[in-house]
Amino acid sequence: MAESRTEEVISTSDPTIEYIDEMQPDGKVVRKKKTTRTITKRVLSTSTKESETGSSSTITSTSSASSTSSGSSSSGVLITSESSLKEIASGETTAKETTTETKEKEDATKSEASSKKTFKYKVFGEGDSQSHPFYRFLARFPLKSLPTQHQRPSPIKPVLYAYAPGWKLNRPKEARESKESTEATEASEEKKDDPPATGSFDVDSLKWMAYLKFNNIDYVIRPAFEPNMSPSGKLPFLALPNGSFVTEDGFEEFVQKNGSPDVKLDINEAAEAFAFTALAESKIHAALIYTLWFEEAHFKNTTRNHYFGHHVPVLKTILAYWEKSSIVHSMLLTRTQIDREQIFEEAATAIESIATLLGDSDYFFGKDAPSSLDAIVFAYLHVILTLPKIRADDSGRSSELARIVRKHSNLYEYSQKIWRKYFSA
Amino acid sequence: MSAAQQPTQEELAAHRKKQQEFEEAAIKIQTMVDNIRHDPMTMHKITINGATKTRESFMYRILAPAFQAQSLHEVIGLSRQAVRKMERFGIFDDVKMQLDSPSDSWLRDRKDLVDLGIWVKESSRVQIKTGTEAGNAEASMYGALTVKNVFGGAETLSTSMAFGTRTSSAFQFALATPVLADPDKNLSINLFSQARNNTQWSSYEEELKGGSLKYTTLSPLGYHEFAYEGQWREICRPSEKASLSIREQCGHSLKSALTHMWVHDMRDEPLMPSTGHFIRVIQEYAGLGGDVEHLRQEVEAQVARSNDKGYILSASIKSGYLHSLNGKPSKISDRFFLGGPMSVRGFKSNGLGPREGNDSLGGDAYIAAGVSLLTPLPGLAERDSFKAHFFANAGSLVSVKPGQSAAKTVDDLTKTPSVSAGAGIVYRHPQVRIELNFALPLMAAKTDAVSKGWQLGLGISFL
Repeated sequence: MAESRTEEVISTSDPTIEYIDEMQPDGKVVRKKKTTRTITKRVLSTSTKESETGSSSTITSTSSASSTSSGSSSSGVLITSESSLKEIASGETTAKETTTETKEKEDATKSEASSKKTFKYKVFGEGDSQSHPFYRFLARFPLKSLPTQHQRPSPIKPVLYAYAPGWKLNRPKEARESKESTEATEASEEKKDDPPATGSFDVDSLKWMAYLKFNNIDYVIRPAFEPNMSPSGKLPFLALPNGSFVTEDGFEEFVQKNGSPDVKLDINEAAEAFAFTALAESKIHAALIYTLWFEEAHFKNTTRNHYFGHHVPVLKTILAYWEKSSIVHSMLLTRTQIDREQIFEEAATAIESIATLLGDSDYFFGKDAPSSLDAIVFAYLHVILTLPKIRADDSGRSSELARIVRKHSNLYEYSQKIWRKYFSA
Repeated sequence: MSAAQQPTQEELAAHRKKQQEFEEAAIKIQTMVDNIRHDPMTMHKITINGATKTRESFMYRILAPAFQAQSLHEVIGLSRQAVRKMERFGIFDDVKMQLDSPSDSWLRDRKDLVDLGIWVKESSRVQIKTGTEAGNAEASMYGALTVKNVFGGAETLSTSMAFGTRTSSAFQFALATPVLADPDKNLSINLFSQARNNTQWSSYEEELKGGSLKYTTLSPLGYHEFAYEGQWREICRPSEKASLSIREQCGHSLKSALTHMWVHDMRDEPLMPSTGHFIRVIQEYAGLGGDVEHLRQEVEAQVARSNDKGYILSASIKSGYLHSLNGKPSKISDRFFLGGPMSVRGFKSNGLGPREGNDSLGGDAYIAAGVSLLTPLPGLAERDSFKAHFFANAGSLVSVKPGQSAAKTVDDLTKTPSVSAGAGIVYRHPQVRIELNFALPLMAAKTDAVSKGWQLGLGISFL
């Protein structure tokens, strides 16, 4: 179920018109015009299982011009075959053949079920057969079904739950209120076309936003600050209109399937992109984490307020402290000590090599449209460059990472260009 | 024979004489007491024997009113009252009293002084209870430690812990003390930590930590409880199929609230009342810090009537309203839930009201009513604990948007009531009421989680 794709094909045949003369009891002859049109709807679903399953339903609707006779028939046909998709789509004949098969199968299951008249079934009516009179009696209830008052409208576009918006655009308090208001006015919110917030102060969230935009996937941002809400325990995640979720694990695949990228990397470029992604996600990431969580000035004035600003002050302080200590733990998993000098040195080297790779071109590998590597590098650069400057007596420690990036003017311009092109518009 | 009869007659005469003397003496004492009833008499000294753990100042508070006595009659009355009070604290197994003339030799002749002697047996201080429970694919164990009379002033310290294999764990610590040595007035401090698993009706778990300060008292109108409560709630671990509305509720929340509960219970017994009425009103104001600000009101009333053939008719109504004061939608932890074998029967537990997918979201306003007719069971008519049960229930639970008009809320509540009816048997165990009903929903909203057929209810409070 995890990986499945469905396609719907609806085809309409040319209408056939028949004229029928009918003798009425009173002796009149009425000519009736009967138009028959066959609408075929095929739902093809591919799953990663060995056998493909496709289901097609043929709906024959008959509309007649005279009011006296009108008939419509519909039949649902389920095809189970181990052949490939193309074969299923090939013709109606296969469908009809398999119909009888499935009917036989149903009969078999029915007889099996009726033989299972257990005690529980007799007394409590909880048997598997629906033909038991008790079951049919129960099925009548409730006698009156009332409409539901509370219906959450299902979204039209995928909804991206992410940390939003970016550092400068909004004070955390407003962010909190905008979150609440989106909850309160869900119905009206869906109607709005432009997302309520752009950008993010969180690298992962911004990366998703950028990557979705680069692949021309339309989405709505819903600011969220609770990683707990995600199925994976991490923000961001996507809630699709069909009710399923896309988390970190399925993100790349989702984009591959639904996106229409403007550019494709060849295998060598993909390998290189992979390497540079790893570089950014280890070296630059560490320096950014250090800047955000361990530089006291940033931690107290920006990081804490943005990640936990939606809580009351007491909770904000406690939760930020917990988060900080868990970050220390996770950092110490990969290194023996948190050495500021070393972290920033490595980050500087990484940034330099990325700057060299980019060169003077608009996007990586000299393409004319951004790729996955662009999404990642842009996310890091943008978060670093837009981080509010703090006036602190720490001899510039808190803004060191931003200074390293600014040294490479091509990176600065690159980040600005992408922001202008994809986000501020 | 006559010789033999003579002494008998003499004996008889003597007996009669004795009896007369006794009667005379009794009358004499009675008149004497009556005469001195209003004679001035004061308590000189009270001695307590056997109270090793109880504080002197605490005892003094209880017994002090006895020193106010001005006459013999008052002395007797006030000492009896004091002793009854002592019994009510539950820290003594046995209390005996005796009035005597002063024991000090130089006061022997004083007729206006009296000594009170009290002999008590203190009950054991520490109680430990452990146990395991199993049922419904879940096992749990609990342990409770109660220390009575901790500081010698009838204070009770209780600690309890419970762990379940699948669902919840709970820890509670409470220290309660009577106020001014009055058994009717109680002040207590509670600390608790609890994990609630709500995945049976909604896809989330809740962790609660908090403390409260509670004052309980009796008034002529009934029982009152005033409390301040601080709670840190976290909605966490949404299950895989949790709906978006539940996911959006995830996170931490602080509540700081004042509550008042008033209970007026005139029923003959709470589990299966046959006569009397019951009213409970709970009010809560949250907004003393924390991130929730609301007024929460809940009212519950029940009335029961019976005839001498063992037929009982009872009716109850419940209603609640949650009003947000800061214009934000309510949190799921504060909302009301409705439905289930002990609430609106014929529906799954908490299966009424706003739902998304398989998740109950809870509502901000509800009303529920039920009528039950309990009749003697054929063949078991002489047993009061078994009854046949016929009922009709109705309930409605809706969400209220901040700033919504009251008229709309009332309209929403009355527009789509969920109604059910059924019959079954009720068994009244000394501690719980057990019901097995065949319930059928008659009217239900499309999203309501209905439970058609047999339904087992086990609990203390039923609709």
